[in-house]
Formats: sequence, C-alpha cells, structure tokens
Amino acid sequence: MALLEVHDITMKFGELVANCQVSFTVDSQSIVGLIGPNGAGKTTLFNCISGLCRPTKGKVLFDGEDITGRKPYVIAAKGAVRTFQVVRPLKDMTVFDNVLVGAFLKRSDNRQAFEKAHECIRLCGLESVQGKLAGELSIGGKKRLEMARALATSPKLLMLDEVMAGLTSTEVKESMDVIEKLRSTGLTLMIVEHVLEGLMSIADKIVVLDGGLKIAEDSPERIVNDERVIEAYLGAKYSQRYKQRKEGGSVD
Amino acid sequence: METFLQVLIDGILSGMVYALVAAGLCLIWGVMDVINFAHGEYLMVAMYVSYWLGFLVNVDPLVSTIAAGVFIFGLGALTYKLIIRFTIGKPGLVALLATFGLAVFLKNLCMNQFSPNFRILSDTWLGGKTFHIGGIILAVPQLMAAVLALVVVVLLYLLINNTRFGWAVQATAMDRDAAELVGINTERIYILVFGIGGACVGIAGGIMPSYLAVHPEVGSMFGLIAFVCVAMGGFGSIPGAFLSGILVGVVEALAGFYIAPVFKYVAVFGLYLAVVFLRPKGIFGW
Amino acid sequence: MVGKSVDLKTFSAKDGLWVAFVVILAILPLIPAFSSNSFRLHVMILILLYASMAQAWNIIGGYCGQVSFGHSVFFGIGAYGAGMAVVTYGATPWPGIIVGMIMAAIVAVIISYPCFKLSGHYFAIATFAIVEIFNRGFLVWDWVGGALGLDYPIIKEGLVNLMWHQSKTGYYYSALVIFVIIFGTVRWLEGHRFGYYMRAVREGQETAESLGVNSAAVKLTAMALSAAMAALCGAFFAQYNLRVDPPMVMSLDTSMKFVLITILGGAGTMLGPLLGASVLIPLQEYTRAFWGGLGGGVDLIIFGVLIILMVVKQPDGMIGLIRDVGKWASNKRAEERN
Repeated sequence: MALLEVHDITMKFGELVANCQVSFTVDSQSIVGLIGPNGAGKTTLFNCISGLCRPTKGKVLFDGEDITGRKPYVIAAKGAVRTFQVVRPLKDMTVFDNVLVGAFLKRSDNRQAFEKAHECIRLCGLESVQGKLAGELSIGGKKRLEMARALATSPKLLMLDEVMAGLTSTEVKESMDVIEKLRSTGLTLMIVEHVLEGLMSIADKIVVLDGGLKIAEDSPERIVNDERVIEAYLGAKYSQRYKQRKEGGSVD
Repeated sequence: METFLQVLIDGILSGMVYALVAAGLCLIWGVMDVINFAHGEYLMVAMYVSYWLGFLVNVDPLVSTIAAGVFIFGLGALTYKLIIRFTIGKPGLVALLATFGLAVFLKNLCMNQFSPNFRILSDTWLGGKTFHIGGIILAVPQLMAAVLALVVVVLLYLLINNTRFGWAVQATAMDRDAAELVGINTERIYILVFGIGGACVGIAGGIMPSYLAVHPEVGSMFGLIAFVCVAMGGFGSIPGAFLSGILVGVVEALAGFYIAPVFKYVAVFGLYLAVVFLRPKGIFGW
Repeated sequence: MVGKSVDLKTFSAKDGLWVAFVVILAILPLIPAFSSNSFRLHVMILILLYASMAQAWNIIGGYCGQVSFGHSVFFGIGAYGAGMAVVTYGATPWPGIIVGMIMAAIVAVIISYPCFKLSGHYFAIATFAIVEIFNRGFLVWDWVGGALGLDYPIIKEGLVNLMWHQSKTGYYYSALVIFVIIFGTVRWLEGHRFGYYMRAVREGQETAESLGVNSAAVKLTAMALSAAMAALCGAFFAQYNLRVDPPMVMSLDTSMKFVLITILGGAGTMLGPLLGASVLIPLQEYTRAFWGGLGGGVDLIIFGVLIILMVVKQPDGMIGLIRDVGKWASNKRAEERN
C-alpha cells in the first residue's frame, strides 16, 4: 500500500517553474530515492510535501489523507518528518536537548521522551557529543543530529534531504547501515541525494527529476541504464558515446 | 474648509521636520541595520546647544543650527567609535539596548546639569513672526524649519545617490565584505554615516529652539516618531522616510485637532500598526 | 587529568550558582527578623519585585526569544486591576488581581497575534507603539481614573486588603511569595515539554515546526503566561505604592526595566533576573538616596553607562561573566598544576 502519494505537483515561483506535474508513490516500508542534478527541484518537492511551501497545483496524500498545504507541524504530527539539506541545529541547545524536542512530539511524559532521545542518539552515534551545544558540532555531526532529531519524533515516513552530502566514504557507509537498520524496524524512507554512491544499493525505487520534471521512476538497476537519466547527469554528448559503446559491445 | 487647510499645512510643516529627524535615523538603519535609540536624545542635545548659544552669546538658532549639526556629527562619530563598533555583527537587540543606555545617560546628564525646567529662547529673529495667505496663518519659524529640513533631506538624498561617497555607502550597506574587497574603507564609511545621521537630527534640533521649549525629555517622543517613520517608510529608504514623516505630521495634526490633542500620538502609532500589519516591511519596503 | 579538570569546572560554575541560590532562598524569609531598618527592607522588597518582573519577561523574551518592549502594558493592567478593586469598588484587591491577570493574558494574545508576524526591528517598534497607545488611552479613560490616576484610601491593614501601614514586613513576605511563584513556574517550565518547545522556537522556528511544534501556539501561550505574571507584579506594585497612574506603570521606561534587568543578569537563564535585579536595584536606590538632592539623575547616569558597558562587553549578562570567570579560574588552576 502506498504511504505517500504525490499527484501532479506543480510549484511556480513567479515565472520560475520549480516542479512541473510531478507524480509518484512511496510504498509503505520501502526506501525511495529522489535524485537529480543541481536545481532539478528536489528540495522544492520536499518543501511541498512537508508543508513548507504550498504547491501551486496538485495533491499530496499521506496515509490516504490529503495533506496538501497543511502546516509543517501538522504534517510532522501525522508522521511525515523531514530533515534539512542546509543543516538547522538549534544552536544554543545541547545535542541531547535538540533530539529531546523531537522526542516530545509523541510523548509528553519526560521519562519516555528522555528514553527515546537516548535511543536515537545512540542509533546515530552521537553519544560522545550529546552534552555539547549543537552549534559546536562538525558538519558531519550536524547532519547526524538532523537525522536523530527527526527519528525521535517516531515518524512513519522519514524524508532525508541530502544527509550524506559532504560526508566521507566511511561516514556514508555508516549512514547506509543506519538507514538499513531503520527500514528493518518498519520505517518508510524517502531520500534525496545528489550523490548516488550507496543510495543505489539500498533503494527499492528511484525517482529522477530534471529541470522540475520527473524523467524516470524505476528500480535502481534499470535507472542506471536509463538513457534520459544518463543524459541528465552527464549531458547529451556523453550519453551518445555511452550508447554507442554499449551497442558496439566494447568497453575498453 | 479654511480650518482644515490650516491644520493640514501645520501638519505638513511639522511633518517635514519629522522627515529630517527620520532621514538621519533611516540612513543609519539602512547602512548598519542598527536602531539608534538615542536619536531623540541627539535632538535634545542639539536643542540645548542651540539654546545655550542663543542665551549666552546671542547667536540666533538660524545660525547655531549649523553648530548643532556639527556638534551632533561629532557626537554620532564618537558614539560609533565608543559603542556601535562593538555591536556590529551581533543580534540587532544589542545595539538597540546599548543606545538605550546612551539615551538614559544623555537625558539624565542634561537633567542633572540643566535641571528639568522648560527653557524658551526669547528674542529670536523669527520668533512670533507670521504671515498670511488668504485666511491661512503661517508661522515663520516653523516654515523656516520645514524649508531647512526639505533642503537638508534633498542634499542627503543627492549625497547618497549621486556622489562617489554615496555609492561607497550603498555598496557597504549591501555587502560589507564585498565593499572591503573593492577597496572601500567600510570602517570610515560607518563612522561618517553615523556622523551624518547625527548631523541631520542635529540640524533639526538646532533650529527648533526658535519655536519650541527645550527640556531633557523633549527628544523622547521625536525619537519614537522617527522610528515609526523609518519603519513605515521601509528599510533604509530615504524617500520612504521622508513621505512617512509628512504623513505622520499630517495625521498627528488632524487627529490632534479633530479628535483630541491627547490622541494625536495614538493616531500616529495606530497608523504605524495598521501599516505594518498590512505590509510587514512598510509602505515602500520589499 | 584534563578531562577531570573540565568536569570540575562545569561543576563549580553551574552548581555553585545553584547552591548559592538555594542558600539565598533559605535566608530570605528570615531577613525581616534581623533587619529592622525600613530602608533596607524597602530595597529588598524592590529587588524581589523587579526580579519577579524580569523573570516574567524572561519567559517570552529570554526562553522563547520574542523581545517585547510592551510588558509595561500588562504590568499596568495588573496594577489597575488591583487599584480599581480597592479604589473604585471599595473591595479587597484580590478579585482585581485575578481579573487583572486574566485581562493581561487576553490582551497579550490579542495584540501579539498580529505582532508576531513582524520581524526584527519592526516587531520591536510595534511593541513601543502599543505602549504609547495604551498610555494615552488610559490617560483619558475616565472609568480608570484618567490622568489623575487612582489614589488608595487608608483602610485596614492586613492580608485581606494586601496593605500594611506600620511596617514593611507584610509587603516583604508578599513579594517573597510572588517571587517564589514566578521563579517556581519558570523552574517547572524549564524541565518540561513546553520549556523545551519555547527554546526550540527561539533557536529556529522552521526547524521547530518540522519537528511538530506549533510555534504560533507556543509563542502565544508563553506570551499569555508572561503577561499574567507581569500583571501579578503590577498588582503588588500598586498595593505597595498605594497609587496608580499611567506614566507610573504604562511607560516605555517601565517596559525597558523588564528587558534590561533580564539582559543584565542573563536572558534565558533562571538566575539571570535575580542577579540583574540584585545589582541594579540597590544601585538605583542607594545612589538616589545619596545624590537625591543634587538635581537628581545621577543614579540614572551611572545606570546608563552600566547598561552600555554590560551590553557591549558581555551580551550574555552577569551569568556569562560568572561563567567566564569560572572558566578562567579553572584554566589557571589547571595551568598551575602542570
């Protein structure tokens, strides 16, 4: 069953069309990757889903309910929670308190919220810095904090906006392990990435955006061979060459 | 009808002085994103400068307004050097509270030195003179102040928009680091901007003793009205501040006459609230 | 070794202050028994009152990060609540205090709702404007006494009328109760969900909303709570001065006191308001007593300079100063050991 359905989302900022009639679905307990080159409209689409922007046209259904244009905190309370590409730590609060704010969403009782926060901090490997002010973390630490905080809200759908950009390969691998672990607990994930390393191996489905349009929606294996995707990423010239090479069968 | 015109013209005249006071604040706000809470106290100090020059050495406010302008230019530059310099880059509240401290200091220093008494300069060149157009009476001191204010605001506008110095100021306002990179001494720009902003209110305050009593509390309301004009006119827009200054003067005069004197400021502040609730960045803001 | 000295430092800086606070709390109730000096008691009463006012402001201004310069309006509503109950209706002040607190909260919500849409300086100036509007409005409003204000009659002293004539001891304990109520509320808030939500809204509204926090509701609730507490302080102020008029309670200067004491002590911290009031109020009262005859204003001249120095040099307030000194001392200790 689809947990999230996006129908014909169009988002215009004045003359600029950031998303044009984008539709796709995210199945329950799956991992969906949303990829595309810079400026493809990935973050805007995220903003439309999470309520930060109201789409010009189109509908977003979450758990069968229309959430188009609802306030971000309403959508978060329903269980669709996001992280931010440009990290937004609550700077003058400790890492633990940051995560605690997330944990309070579903738990008003202090003891339960503290337990949940501890659990998420452990999961994201932040134990050693939990007493530090969030503003003092390294960029990798802040990315992990984004994730821990969102997780603490006990979401049904976790939307990660480039949590792996700028991380080292080891850190990317660690994040992948965490994501795999999360899926096994029944969580649904939607992951925006600019870098494809890693994502292809764990995603059940990839949605590709280019210039605001959805150009492909398929399994990772098929996506890597999709001509339009290669063209979008590498440009027309390389795509031609790639095709020729494939047809000629020679991969020198 | 005649009464209405009279009230309207009185409003425009006092509005032009507000416009000059606001223009100085506006320049500082626009370039540094600082609210100078002591702006009204600058006006009060300028009035004392002009008053004492008149009282002790018999210089007319028309002349000593220049001295007051220069004096407050110095006070502004000094304020920047001693206080504002340390608040740049910190949250906006820091500069506001620091200049509130300065306002308290200046107000009470004058209270302590000059007593809270109202002081009126008698025997000025323009004092008490009027002339009549039809049935409308124009008080010469107020008219002179308005004309002077208009001239200074226009000069300020030309300075900012048509000179190399003005372009450097605008560049600094937009992006301080980039301005540094192209060789603008932004620290000097900041000092001069604070000084010039002060000079504007200094000139306004300098001419006022020819029609207004001087006392330590006189600046506070002018300061508040200047905040309102600047915010209503939109962030850093001198024409915006000028027009809102006149609008405020007119609203104040009309409300004071047709409703009740005590309501004139209620009308002004109510107007501000109405404007920003509808347009959160002011009439001319974006 | 380094790790250990770090632990020691955090212990001494934070817990040291708390120990001091608890000790002070324990001593406060005993003070009238030792000091019969009525001026000293007066200063103590004002410290408790202003610390409570600053703490009330601290809820919205410090913890929730919405810097309001309009709190004298709520303070004034509280003062008028008590004043009108006694002067206009000849009753005890208690129902007036309750009504004043509720009214202040309602007014706070109504005026804050549009104001919260404004940003930065526009918000600050809007709160100034509101103070001026209320000030003039009350000046001409006959029902509340207009410009003449309300003068208390001399009636029977005691808790029922919240009024004492013989000594200030009764006022002292009343102020102490208010202080405990407001500081207790903030202490409670600090450790609960709402307290965390307030700080999250201060640190980043969009982030907080992405985590399910209804920031508008948090801000309005914090404002209502803060306003009701400010009104409580205002009611006490009226009872203590036996007089209310608009310039006394609803003025920009009063508003500024809420802000400055908190910032001076340390905004967003529980002990900040007490520290700020303990420095500012004795300074104000003793300089006034000392130089009072000499044209006046000397206390405020010093006050002005102090504000400038403090705001410019130590924006985190005295709490920040103590923290820095603590750090410096422990670094020095560590150096000496090596």
